[in-house]
Amino acid sequence: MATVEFIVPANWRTVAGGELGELRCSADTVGGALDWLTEAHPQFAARVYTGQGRLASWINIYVGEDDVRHLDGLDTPLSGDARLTVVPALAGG
Amino acid sequence: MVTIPAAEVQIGSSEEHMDGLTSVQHYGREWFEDESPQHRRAVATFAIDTYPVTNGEYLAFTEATGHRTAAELRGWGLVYGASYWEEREGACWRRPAGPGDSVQDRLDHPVVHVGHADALAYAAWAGKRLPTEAEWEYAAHGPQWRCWPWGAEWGPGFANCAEHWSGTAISDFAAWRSWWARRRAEHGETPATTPVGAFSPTGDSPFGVADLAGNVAEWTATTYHLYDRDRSYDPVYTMAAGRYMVVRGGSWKDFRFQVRTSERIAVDPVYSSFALGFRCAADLPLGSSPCAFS
Repeated sequence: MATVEFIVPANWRTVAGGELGELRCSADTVGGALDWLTEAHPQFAARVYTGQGRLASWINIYVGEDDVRHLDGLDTPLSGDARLTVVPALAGG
Repeated sequence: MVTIPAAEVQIGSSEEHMDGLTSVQHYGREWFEDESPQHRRAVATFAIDTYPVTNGEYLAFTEATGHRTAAELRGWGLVYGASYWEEREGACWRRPAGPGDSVQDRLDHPVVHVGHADALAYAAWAGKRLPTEAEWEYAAHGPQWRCWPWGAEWGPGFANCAEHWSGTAISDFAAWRSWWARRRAEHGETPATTPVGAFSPTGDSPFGVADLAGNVAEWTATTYHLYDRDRSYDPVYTMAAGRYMVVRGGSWKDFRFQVRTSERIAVDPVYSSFALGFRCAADLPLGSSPCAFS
């Protein structure tokens, strides 16, 4: 079980209506960590998953410096202290 | 194409502009911080298309080359639905809203649903290239920095963006969602692009380049990097640096603050949507030898 820290876009605080505080959870996989994030903050679910529950094409998730699509996607295992950076495929504006 | 003379120009946004921007819309300054610091950049003489590449021009390209866009090959394109983006089956540049839509009656509108590679392929076929980020911004605000291509004041009829269609100022996401819900109810999800040049000459840049604010956001040739390595930026932008490409100009679905001349958008090169297109640029002199031997 890894200790996961999320880094999310600055504009997600606006979406959430204010400060988010620390986004930390324990999870074994990227999918498990994202499930925690979207359950803790349901307004982020549509920004992460498609309606079919897949990782949406409009978002990229990095474990450290690695894009999870180049690893095992949502099944990518996590260990130790993991940092997940959530980067919209279109960021800014 | 329009010839843009060589110059050393201000690129990016000033501290004063950034502070003002933060006070008039809902996103925090860190969302725009990558426009800072404003700095001077030398730009060589170049030419840039007066308008974004149109559906008609892209049709001619695909008929000549057989090119199929990434969206066509994978079978879906990104369309904004009732509440957020959706991977719409069948949506592509030929059918921006998906099945039932067609660009046949919009051949003079800018092409959308093109990824960076699709834009590069067109540019190569046309004997041109994409503009660099600095070229694009210089073409938009001219020798003197200005907020929008036409000047410092926003006004109706200057650009195709969400506020043009809503008729009122939009300063937060709630107001934008309200506009989109009305728009979608009346017009479906067909992108609200307009014929290229529809806002000329009112909305043109000092060089007479059209549609640099709104209509479609535009790919550039520049890999996204932060302007100052020693400055603190949102970690999301740091992660995008070196991975994403720069998009400029904002689109028909953006606020007036998102179609400013120095607004930067970092975009995954494989991304495309019903609001993203491009225009081309070229080195000068066109098609001649760089050396004069006689």
